[in-house]
Amino acid sequence: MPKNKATYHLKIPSQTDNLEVIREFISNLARKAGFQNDDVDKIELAVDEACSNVIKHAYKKTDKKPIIISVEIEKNKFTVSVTDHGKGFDINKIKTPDMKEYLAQMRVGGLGIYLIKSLMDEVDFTIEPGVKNQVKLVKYV
Amino acid sequence: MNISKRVENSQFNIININGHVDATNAPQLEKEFDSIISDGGSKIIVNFRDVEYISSAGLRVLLSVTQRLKSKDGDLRLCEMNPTVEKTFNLAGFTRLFDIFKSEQESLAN
Repeated sequence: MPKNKATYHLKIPSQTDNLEVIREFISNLARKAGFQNDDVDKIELAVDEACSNVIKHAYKKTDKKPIIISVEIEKNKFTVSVTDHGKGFDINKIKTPDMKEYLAQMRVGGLGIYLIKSLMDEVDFTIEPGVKNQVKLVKYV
Repeated sequence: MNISKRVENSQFNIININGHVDATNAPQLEKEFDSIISDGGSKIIVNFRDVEYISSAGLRVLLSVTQRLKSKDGDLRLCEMNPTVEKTFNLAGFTRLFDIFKSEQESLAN
């Protein structure tokens, strides 16, 4: 783990093909920060969900708009910020799915965000549609 | 992700997935299910032995398929998940929604 704060950035086109590259970038840094496999898997999945949301919803699957991923590694804290400049959303309108209802209704939204919140210690959304949307994901080592 | 299919006991369509299931290839997986269901298949087993990773895009496909099969009196069975993939199902609360078996043999027998 770095002694002081270390920051890493990845700017990548918003294509699903790039999810694997993003996961590898994140899992390498999570290991570097001192996480064990179990937590590495959780962080990797949370970031995949955040980036998939950007590709599908913020940019409406329009290729080659940038997703900016920043990772900050501090002594006991691992922070990933996923930023886009696409269409935002109102986080308060995303309902946490009830799983029985989920099965009954099929394709209720919100599963990705529900997973992100279950996987990380802190999740914070800053939404300015068309200007800058950012989700900040924190996991403590 | 690679997918192979075969039929066992003349009624079970078994799908073997190899690799990562995410938003990139979930549509391909959905097409495989579509092709089995449109050919009249209603009992499907997915063997996860070679699946290293699944995101919510893959979970949504499975959820949609189980719903479609139930309406046809069929069912979807999942087997041989590694601990990482099983954890994702657990986190999503999906272990309650699917019939999950330790081995393919067990999924065929039940």
